[in-house]
Amino acid sequence: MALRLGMRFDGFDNARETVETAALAEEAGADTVWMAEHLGYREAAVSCAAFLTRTERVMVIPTAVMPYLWHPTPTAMQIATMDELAPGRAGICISVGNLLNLRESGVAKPEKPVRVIREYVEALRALWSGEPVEQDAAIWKLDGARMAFKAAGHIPIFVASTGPQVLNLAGRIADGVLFSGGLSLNFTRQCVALANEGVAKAGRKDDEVRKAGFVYFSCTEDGVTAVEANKRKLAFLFRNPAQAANVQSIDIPIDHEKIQELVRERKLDEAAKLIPSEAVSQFSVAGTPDECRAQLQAYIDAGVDEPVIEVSGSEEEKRLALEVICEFTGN
Amino acid sequence: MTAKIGIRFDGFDSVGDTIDICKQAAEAGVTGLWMTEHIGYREALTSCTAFAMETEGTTVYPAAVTPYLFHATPTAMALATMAELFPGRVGVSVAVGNTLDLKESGCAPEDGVTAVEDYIDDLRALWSSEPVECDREAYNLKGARMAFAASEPIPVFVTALGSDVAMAAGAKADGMLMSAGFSVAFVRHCLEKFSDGAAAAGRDTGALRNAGNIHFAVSGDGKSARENVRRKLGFLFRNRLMAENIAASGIAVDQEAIIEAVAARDLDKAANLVPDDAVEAFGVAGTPSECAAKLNAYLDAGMEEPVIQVSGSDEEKRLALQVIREFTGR
Repeated sequence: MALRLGMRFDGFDNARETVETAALAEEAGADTVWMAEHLGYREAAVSCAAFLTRTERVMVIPTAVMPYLWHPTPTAMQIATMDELAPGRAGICISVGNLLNLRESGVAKPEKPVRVIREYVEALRALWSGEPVEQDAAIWKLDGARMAFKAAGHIPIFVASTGPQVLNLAGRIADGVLFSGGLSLNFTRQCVALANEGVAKAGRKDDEVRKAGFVYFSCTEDGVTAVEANKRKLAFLFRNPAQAANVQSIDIPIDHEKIQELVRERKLDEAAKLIPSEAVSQFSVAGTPDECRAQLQAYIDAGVDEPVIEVSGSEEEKRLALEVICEFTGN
Repeated sequence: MTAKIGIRFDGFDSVGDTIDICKQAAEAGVTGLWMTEHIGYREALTSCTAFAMETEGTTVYPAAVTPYLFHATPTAMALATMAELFPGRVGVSVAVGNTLDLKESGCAPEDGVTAVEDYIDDLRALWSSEPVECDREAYNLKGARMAFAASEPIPVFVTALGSDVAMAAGAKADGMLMSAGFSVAFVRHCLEKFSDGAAAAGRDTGALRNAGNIHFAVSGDGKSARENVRRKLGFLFRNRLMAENIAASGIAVDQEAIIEAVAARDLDKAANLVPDDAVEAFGVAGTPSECAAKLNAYLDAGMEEPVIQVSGSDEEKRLALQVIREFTGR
């Protein structure tokens, strides 16, 4: 599968600035723009529609749309509309979603997540076919719903997860899998292997399923501040007890429990200090431009065929990130 | 005084063609671009984002957004994102939605008017960036909150198909968007109900806005325009909530047969069930001068922003834009 480089937005920044940064990333050679669907922040589908009208080449991917909050019918309509607006440049990534955020929007417990993800993929594809769809799914029902227009072409569906069952499912049915940010190289290899198990089970070839990975990325001239920036990001990520397997997947000891305790106490600076500098490059890409290029290559060597990085921070940091994209893509 | 005029899209045409019309209409002086959320057709939130990106000076309105399929949290996020991208240029119109379409997507509304009223409250509460708690028919919120706020208020209209919703709109919304296919007399009736609802809630009716979708087609001889509108009405009358408007006109329309035809996707048959006098009463169709006169009749009835369609052949679109220019003085 051809190597691609993506960039991602988390919805934390002003939407107008984000659209302009997406255009700059395209100029720099980025292949894809992934917009996170973080609940409460800038919404991904409309952001992606804006990206499509402002760019000419990149594929845009709302990430990750949650079946528990986005009914498949309007989602199918949205993505097909985007595909018609810019043929071949719209994709979608789906996932269960963040449990805390789901609870706040009335989903106390996401029931049957593996089944729900599978049914969502099936529903989207069936709706895009233009045929009437009958589906008695776990959390919705389609009783003859149909699209009145067809997507211009095949719309790729990614599934985001680090859980074994969903990764296996993604390997079996999706067009791609997306690994979340902050995964160690070792843990990334494990996730790639789990997805490939699903690929094999479905009688597919490894390269039929793209493996994209969000990569925490920070680039500065001195490299030192970039490492410190990623320590904070990692400490915040590691507040989640479910990160235990990832944290323990490298040989460098990290006091995960203490980090969780400090983040709970809103002592993020202290928590960040518990991330050893030598561990940062195991979980992310941080350093000088040269170091960043080498570390990105390490993720590719681990099986990621589409690293997806952030272009954020100060103007200088954004400029350096775009430079890395330029050099990486040969632009 | 120059009359205000908007145009609307039903999602039936390709988004590229629709954007081309948006650009021409904006040049002709149209300020409102309304896109109906017809289930199964081009989606309104993403379409409106593209319209706003490609035009200047327009306000975009995803219309008939239903709480039964569009959860409050992502909808509030989407509209706030659009408002941040296009300050002061985004509104929304909410509605129960078409019962047939909702049924096909597994939804059976129990108390649609309350659901729409609650949806307005919940969108506004989310846009305040405070945590929101509520238990609703279509969704619940348990502390959901937005992390950013739109720089300017997003006006919320209610799409009204009858007098009950017009009353509710007056009590709660920033504006009322009257459904396409209303007769002039029924527009007058709904505006009275809208004012009654506002007055009953102690609101200043002068601060509220109204607009009305109008099935509109113009042609040199007027004939093809009438056939165009007949087809639109055939699709519209699939909605049982149009029964009040149809009955008020006294015109015999076999709505059950139309519903059956549309359910079978036989739009030709549905169109043939719309009689000539219904085309005359429920739409604006004819030559440019006939259309201008009929539009003025809606304005005289109190409609502030007629929202018409620019559709049909290239010649019909050209004539529609000509009618718009006459209205806006461009």
